[in-house]
Amino acid sequence: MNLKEATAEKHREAESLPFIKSIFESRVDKDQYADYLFQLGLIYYFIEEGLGEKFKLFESMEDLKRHKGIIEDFNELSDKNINYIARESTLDYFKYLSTINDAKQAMAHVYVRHMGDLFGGQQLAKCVPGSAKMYKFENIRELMTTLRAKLSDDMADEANIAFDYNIKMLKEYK
Amino acid sequence: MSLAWDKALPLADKLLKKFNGYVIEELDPKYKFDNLQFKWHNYIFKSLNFRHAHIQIIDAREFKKIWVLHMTIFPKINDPSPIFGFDIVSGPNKITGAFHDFSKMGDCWLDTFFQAKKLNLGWENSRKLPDWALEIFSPGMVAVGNLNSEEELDRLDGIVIDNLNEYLYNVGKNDGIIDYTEKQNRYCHFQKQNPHTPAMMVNFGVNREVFMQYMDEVLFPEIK
Repeated sequence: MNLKEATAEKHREAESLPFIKSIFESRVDKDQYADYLFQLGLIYYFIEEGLGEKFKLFESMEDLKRHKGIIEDFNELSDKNINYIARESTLDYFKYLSTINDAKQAMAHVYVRHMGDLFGGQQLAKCVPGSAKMYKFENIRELMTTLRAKLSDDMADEANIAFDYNIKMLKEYK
Repeated sequence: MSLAWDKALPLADKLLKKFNGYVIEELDPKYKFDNLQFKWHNYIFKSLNFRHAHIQIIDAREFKKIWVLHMTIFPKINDPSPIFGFDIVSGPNKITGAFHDFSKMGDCWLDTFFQAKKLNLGWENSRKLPDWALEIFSPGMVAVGNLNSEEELDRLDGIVIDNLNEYLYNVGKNDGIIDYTEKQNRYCHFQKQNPHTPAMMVNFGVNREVFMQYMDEVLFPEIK
């Protein structure tokens, strides 16, 4: 079974969650989405700057990094009177990422997050509040090709773990 | 009315409340004075989860129109968790300096968490750090000055309290076999290079020799 097939079930589970549905139906609550961006900012920072630097994950695909766009979206949508804090599911994922000590294991998380942004992002960008800078890519096809070349089917178990953590984060929102 | 003090003092109360349930260590009587023209509070906490936690409050609002809070939490010597540090210097109209850091000891996710969060919240440092500080503080350190709006002060309150929650929940859970004594001592050594710490207290009437001893034993206790 290839990586896509091996993770298809988790992928479907994530897409069927109420929060994702509300995004696709363009009725996501702006404050909830801003909070979600805050959580993503923490996770992407670790994947891109922590694991990314350690294992050179983004070599020849620097443009794939999304952290900057997430922060810009968050700044656009966040409410200055709200004290944004890391949710428990985010901290659990953050802590889990800190235990990763293998490049392939780390790349599985890039697959789940960034490949998802490349594929579904273009549709999501039309549905979310704000400018959706996190989904703006300059060269999608080239990035997809470069990322695909770094993936292998033996990343499936770890990719499913990544999906589990992402599903837990999404379940925080109704 | 003072917006800065009205925000800073309740923040100190909140920080202290986070230590409810921890064992309080008595301050050595040689550091207790009853002839000072200002109030000098020291709270030292003991726990199996960390080596030393200390909150010092210098309340010289009436005497010199200044209020200072200094706080550190040192992890256990075999814990790679960073050292938690937070300082506020506040006049009546503004917080002239606020410094907050997770100072790196070993390889610990809390360091990255702190940096990620600072970036998320868009803090931009406005205070230039002296050389001794650059030796020990992390690149993600919060170093800001002249905070005088309610929004800025609430933001500071939010990030410090949230970070303290995360820190206290996680410190002591990352024990390993590496000994961080040298790194903790290095942190203490450079902190003691800050000339403003003793200068202010001597100016306030505290005996220099006694205060230097207090710096060694209470503020920045090196492991012998």
